[in-house]
Amino acid sequence: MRKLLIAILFVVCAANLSAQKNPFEQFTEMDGVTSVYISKNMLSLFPKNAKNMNYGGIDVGNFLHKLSSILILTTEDKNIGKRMVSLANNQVKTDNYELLMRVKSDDDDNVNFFMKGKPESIRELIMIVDGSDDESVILQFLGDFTLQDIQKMTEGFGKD
Amino acid sequence: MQIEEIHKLLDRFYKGETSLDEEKRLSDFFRQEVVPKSLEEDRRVFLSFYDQNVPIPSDLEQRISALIDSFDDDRKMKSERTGMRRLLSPFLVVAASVLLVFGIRFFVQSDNPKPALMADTYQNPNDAYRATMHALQLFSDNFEKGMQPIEKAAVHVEKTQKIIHQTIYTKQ
Repeated sequence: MRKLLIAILFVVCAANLSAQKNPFEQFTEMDGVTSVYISKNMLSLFPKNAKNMNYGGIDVGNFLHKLSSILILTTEDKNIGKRMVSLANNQVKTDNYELLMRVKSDDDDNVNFFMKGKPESIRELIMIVDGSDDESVILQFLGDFTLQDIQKMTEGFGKD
Repeated sequence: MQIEEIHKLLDRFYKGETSLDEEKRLSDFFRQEVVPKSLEEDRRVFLSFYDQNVPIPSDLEQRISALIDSFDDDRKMKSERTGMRRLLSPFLVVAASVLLVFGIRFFVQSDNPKPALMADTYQNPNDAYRATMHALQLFSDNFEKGMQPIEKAAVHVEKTQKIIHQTIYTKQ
């Protein structure tokens, strides 16, 4: 009985290990997709209070230091973009991400924001840009930050 | 003894009808030195049946008991083997579960191949910084696009509330 429990524990651990992998890693291997990954180590190398970290009087560094990684996936190919976006949407659906905001701009770009966690403790934030004719983008922020942090950060960039 | 009679006796012997006496007489006849050639074959057959002095090997008993002992050894070896199996069974269980886990993981991984490790795209912090800022700018642009209508709506809601407030107060 004990051995059986240990065996089950093993299986669960193994499943957990694979579940902890970043699901968006798969897109970095896609042909025609440009991927940029910035780790926590690299983020920590940014000057914390440098002048150019201030956007519109808001310290962006504060937000960056709450992140553990940034993943940027872009493609300018229309077909690849379509595939990437639909795959990402599937991923988001199966992994139970929460839709934060859906924006449809004048130039027919569909932008969806998804998050994981609570508003006061967001662990993952994803932006999927479905560019109708130009580039499609997936942005992923991992870390532990609040919705307010994001609002502040975007306000800073907006004033710039 | 007449050959004729011997033939008769042999016939009866082959049919199993001879008495002990008659068999004794046949035996005596065949044990003579000289036997007619026509009866040579019969002599050999008869003696092989009738010869009671079949030599018993002196070590027969030993051989039989050795055989019995060997049966016993066989059983002992078998029980030793099952004993070993019982001793090894916990390890077998662990080995089997480890194999199972690795098998499942292998299947899951081969089903969905993943890159080895996420590595930093940039080795230079400045390049990484620029890319990050670009990403944040893009993010903010889109985020603001979504927020602007909300802010506008909020302004309208505020205005409406003010008007309602004012009308309620002035009416009072």
